Amino acid sequence: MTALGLNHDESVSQQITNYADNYAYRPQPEPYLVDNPYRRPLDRARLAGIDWRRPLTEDRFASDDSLLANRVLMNVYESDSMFLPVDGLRGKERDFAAFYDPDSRVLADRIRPTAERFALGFLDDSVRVNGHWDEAQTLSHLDATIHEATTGGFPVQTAVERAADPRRAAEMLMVQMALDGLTEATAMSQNLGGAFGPEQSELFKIFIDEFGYGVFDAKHSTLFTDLCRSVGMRTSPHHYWFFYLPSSIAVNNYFYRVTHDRTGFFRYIGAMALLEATFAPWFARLTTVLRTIFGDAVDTRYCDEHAHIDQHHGRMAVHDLLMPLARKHGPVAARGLIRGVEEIRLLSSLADADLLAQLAWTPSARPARSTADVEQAPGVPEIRDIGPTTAFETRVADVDTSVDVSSGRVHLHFSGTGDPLTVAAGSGVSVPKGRLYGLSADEDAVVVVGER
Amino acid sequence: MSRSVRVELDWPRENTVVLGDRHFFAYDRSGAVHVIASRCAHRGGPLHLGRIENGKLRCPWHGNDFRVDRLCARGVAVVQRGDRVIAYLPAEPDSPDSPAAVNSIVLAK
Repeated sequence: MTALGLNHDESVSQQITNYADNYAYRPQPEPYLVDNPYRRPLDRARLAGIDWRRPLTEDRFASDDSLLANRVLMNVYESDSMFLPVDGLRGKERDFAAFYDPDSRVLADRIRPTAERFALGFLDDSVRVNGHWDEAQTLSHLDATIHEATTGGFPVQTAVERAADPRRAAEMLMVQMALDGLTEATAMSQNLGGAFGPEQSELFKIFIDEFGYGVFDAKHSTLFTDLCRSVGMRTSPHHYWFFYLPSSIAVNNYFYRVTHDRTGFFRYIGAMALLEATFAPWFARLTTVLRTIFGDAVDTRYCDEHAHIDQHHGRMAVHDLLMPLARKHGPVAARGLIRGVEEIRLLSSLADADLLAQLAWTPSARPARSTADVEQAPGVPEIRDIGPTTAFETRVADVDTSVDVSSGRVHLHFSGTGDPLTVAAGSGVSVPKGRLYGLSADEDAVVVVGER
Repeated sequence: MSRSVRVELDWPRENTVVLGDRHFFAYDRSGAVHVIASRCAHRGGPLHLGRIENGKLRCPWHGNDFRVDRLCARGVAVVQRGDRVIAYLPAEPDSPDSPAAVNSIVLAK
């Protein structure tokens, strides 16, 4: 492997597992990460099983490999940004030092290209932008895309509203939003430096809105914190680490990828412009849903702010930023801008599908499979011992999976908030392909996990 | 700013776009679909009925050769998502607003 990680060989996998050995990424038995922005467990053993030479395809987007690779990438990117614990650093000095450890940063730079190619490389095949693009075609496509995106309904909000447990569903949506919401505009900040003319100032105007004009209480991430707190959710970054869906992390990682790589600048602007131009009605609808579910207690200023300011940001991003860049920098820039539009559109639709499937899944206990049924099922079942000190992990079921409890009682976690499903010995639960779940136990238990 | 006309193709079932009296054909180059004006720059010959050899498309009328990579680079603006191909055709003042995506014989493959 070269210093830039451009070649694939066995050492890539080794370096990624070495990266996961970082003290800050150690396993823990608790399902939540409490008030420590550096703690981001990575499952070294599962990471070692990934074939990094075989990048994800669109149909493997909601998979366990996707979850693991995107977690690694998130740590790689976010260790470039400043995090300090809300209640101070005392007692977390070792995590702080480990998270920003220079050797770990060097390793991060080495593994990043491989992890990016693995997790997000499918976009190169799934989205193609060809031919000669000029101003007219660029604007026509933007207008048509924005129209489609803002008139196609709001399937996620509708699913939350109609969920069996709307409160849990709304909170699971907010868990996914927290990926960006609690660190809002961090990726954007990576493009504020340098010198790129009047468009740099236009980007800065959007950025200062996101940052509340330097007033902490008006900062969008503060408003998001207030939203979470108002419904009883925790507000420290990555408290719900284990419950991010792979697609949600991938969308967040995408923005880091195209801002970290300066040649991705036009893609970033295209993707950002599309979201800014479509957020206003999306958030307005979310306000309605949250009010219905949580009543007057919910603090919707975060949604209200977006419903208002993104009407302006949409116009600014398209007409003051994207189109001037297309005019000034020509067809290559225009293709990059359109590619960004299409890439975030695809990623968003995949993320919506992933979340909708997770929200639609309400697991329930049923009699455990018989020994004969287990033996006849495809694949080799895995027998796991789970106890109060077992490292907690969530994973994505790569096939329709059965979890059967042989002894003890286990808790099946399937959303960021709310009680897990408790399954006793002699019972089991089915996990559909693509769904995120985790297992924990208060006392020693044994489960058989296998393909259904 | 010039006007353009949007058209969607269900590729590869639809491989041709007709806009007024102008024809455009879709060409798959290493998985990337390009939409190319089917009008030879020499005498207006039907390029979609030409053959491609050694990276060059030969016009069936007078045998002029055109490098395929250059034809693709000059192709119309295209966004491709799986089977869905969206193309923006440069419109002339008298161009109709309703292009037709159809299937026709395309020999330029």
